[in-house]
Amino acid sequence: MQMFVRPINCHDCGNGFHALGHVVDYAQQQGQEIIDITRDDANKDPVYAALDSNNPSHFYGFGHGSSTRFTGDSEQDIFTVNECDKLAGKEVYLLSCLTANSLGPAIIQNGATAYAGYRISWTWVSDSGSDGDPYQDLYAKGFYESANELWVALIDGASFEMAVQAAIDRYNWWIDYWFDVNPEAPQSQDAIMWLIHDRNGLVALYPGMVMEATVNWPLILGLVAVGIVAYVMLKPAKIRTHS
Amino acid sequence: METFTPEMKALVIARLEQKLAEGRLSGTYTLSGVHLTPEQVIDEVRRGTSFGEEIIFAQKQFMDELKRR
Repeated sequence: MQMFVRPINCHDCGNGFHALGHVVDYAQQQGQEIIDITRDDANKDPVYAALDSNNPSHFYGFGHGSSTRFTGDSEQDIFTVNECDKLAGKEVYLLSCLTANSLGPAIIQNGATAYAGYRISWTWVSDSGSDGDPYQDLYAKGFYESANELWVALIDGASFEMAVQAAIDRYNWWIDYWFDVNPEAPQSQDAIMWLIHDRNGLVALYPGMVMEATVNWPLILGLVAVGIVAYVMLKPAKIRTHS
Repeated sequence: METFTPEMKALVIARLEQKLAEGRLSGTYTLSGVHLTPEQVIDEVRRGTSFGEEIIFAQKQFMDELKRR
């Protein structure tokens, strides 16, 4: 069973609400059993109640986010780094801003079997505002269709890894479209720029995955330098003490 | 996210201003609730906000892609 959460009343959430609606329709056409939590039900209490009563295998959420939180229709928290254990045992995809930085790892640490989300502010361009169906907008369609491709691939039975690649492939298709097919459109360069930004910001995490280690070379070299200086200064003193 | 030199920031602002004058700078929407007009996009970079840094980073990635092609 797959669970979709798609708010509409949060700032600029209309596009995402309608975009995810296309995936809901597709899942239903494919005969999938789904739960579609929408509008003011897309808030913490109804979402938690639906998770408890249905125990879906997949959780697909759209909404606002930050490094540490994913929010719903009222822009109040649904999941945070301190409260995301309801996603244990599930494959999770959050179409939201920045959640891959801290919330994604917390979701995996709390038992999710896979997580995909974005480490950047997921950004799109629209010629018709943010309320309607982005599939009807020259620019917004590429952004939402690319992000949706991950869900579509999972519905089609792809592995999580393959589904992430399918989304990346779709971003690339749209980037090529703006470069090669429609470069004269006024905002084609910005569409390319933000599609690259979103594509490169897509992150997949799995249990046991070794998180990327960052080596702080300036700090290490600084400590080595301090050590050398301290050694040079202390060594003569020690010799003098013993002489 | 990378940190950018003042020179790079100035270069990006000049490029964005040129695009604005040519009518090729778009507004943006984000899923952190930030909606910017084209003028506000430039202002965000000038003020050095975290999203302003992302705009510079996105410009850099775009230029890298142009070079690659």
